[in-house]
Amino acid sequence: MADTQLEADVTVNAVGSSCPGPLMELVGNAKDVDPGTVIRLQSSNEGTEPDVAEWSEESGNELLDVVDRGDHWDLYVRIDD
Amino acid sequence: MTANRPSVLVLGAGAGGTMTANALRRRLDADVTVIDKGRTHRYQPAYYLIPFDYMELADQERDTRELLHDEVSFVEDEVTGIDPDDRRVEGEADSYEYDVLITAVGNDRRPDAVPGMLEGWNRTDSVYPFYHASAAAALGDAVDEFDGGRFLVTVPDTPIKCGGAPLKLTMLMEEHIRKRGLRDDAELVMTKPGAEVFGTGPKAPYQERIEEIWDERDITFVPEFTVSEVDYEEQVVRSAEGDSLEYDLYAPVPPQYGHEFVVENSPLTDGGEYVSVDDNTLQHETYPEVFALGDNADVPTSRTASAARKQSHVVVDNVERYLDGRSPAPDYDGYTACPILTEEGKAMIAEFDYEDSISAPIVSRLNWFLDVNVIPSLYWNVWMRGYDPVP
Repeated sequence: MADTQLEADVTVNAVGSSCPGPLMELVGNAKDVDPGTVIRLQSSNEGTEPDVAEWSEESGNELLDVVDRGDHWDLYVRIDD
Repeated sequence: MTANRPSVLVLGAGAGGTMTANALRRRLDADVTVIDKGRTHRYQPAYYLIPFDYMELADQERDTRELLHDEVSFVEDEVTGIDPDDRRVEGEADSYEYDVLITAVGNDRRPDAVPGMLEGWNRTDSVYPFYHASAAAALGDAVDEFDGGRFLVTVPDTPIKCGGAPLKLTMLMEEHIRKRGLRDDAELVMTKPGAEVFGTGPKAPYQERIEEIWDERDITFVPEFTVSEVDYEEQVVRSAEGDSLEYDLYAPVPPQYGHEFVVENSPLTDGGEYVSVDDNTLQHETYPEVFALGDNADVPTSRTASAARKQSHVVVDNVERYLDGRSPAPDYDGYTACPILTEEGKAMIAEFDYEDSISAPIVSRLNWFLDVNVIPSLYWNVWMRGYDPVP
């Protein structure tokens, strides 16, 4: 999937936050938004992707894409639950 | 590094690191560099006020680069280890040499260290480890939606920053529930691993006052309760002592440790969790060119930003003395301060050092005003800039 096609409704900047910080920030935002919202989580921590993938599967949300931006990753997550 | 212009490296751009870097820039003819893995600085004492709308998170965040003076260099990098024998810090992106090192990296909040605590936050709407900004912000909706039952706050068996925060959260929640007309349907419980709700010795006068207030307001303190597991499906917290407590809404203080890159990848903690510095000079016990302050300093005081502020003065003086070839001054006396907010418009400021209590245990409107309306602007505009006109 080309990253230019994805548009986030909410951006969460967790660059520099170590585990479990980025996932905690994503969850905090997920509690707050309407179903269908796409959150872009920015993280520089390599543990974030597996954490978010696992959480998304368990919680009924969807990790749409992960884009490497060089100094951080953009993780696009659609909140369905 | 040049022969006549020393390089001072500050690890961490939190309260202690930012204050110290800005003050050192004015004091010394030295290159001052700050390293931090992120560039958002948050006013952490806001966290227990955010759920009750006494402060907004968005108002209490600043860009680290803008807080530091232009002449202080800022590097965004994640430190991975420290080699004081080689006077070198290793980061993900680069390595950094120094003549003087100041470590102010804080502590590591680890809700994942208790089985079920982090999972409870991730998977349910009843667990909020409120020492994280995201959980503090989300707790606001949860306290508004709380419709009775038990509100539980637990304190871990590790040293924590701001030991007063769980007490304040509990008291502000009691008031919030009372004002919503739910007081008769709700129970407020706070647990600690030890016997004391606040502390003995220099803390005793404040504890006495807190006990009176909790009696009057029917807030329950459960001593000798060391959280060992959170069963978020059953909504039960179990303790190492074999007890258990049910909850309807749960705000745990997460356990806190030293950062792995200091504990595992440096000799600076001497086998412990925090940097081994002298209690009074804040100079490292083995490496004289290393100083530590704030939550990562192994000194026997309560970890607060106000302690870091007083420690910063001593570190600045002693770095200057070290570079001049003089012996360090033993000027840190353990000072710390903890404003205990008891309800809207009322607070007591607990102020003490290693030996004695300093302030009187008086609850007043002025103390609330100081803590909520005055200190945040002092923090951002004066202390973080490296100035300190207040005695």
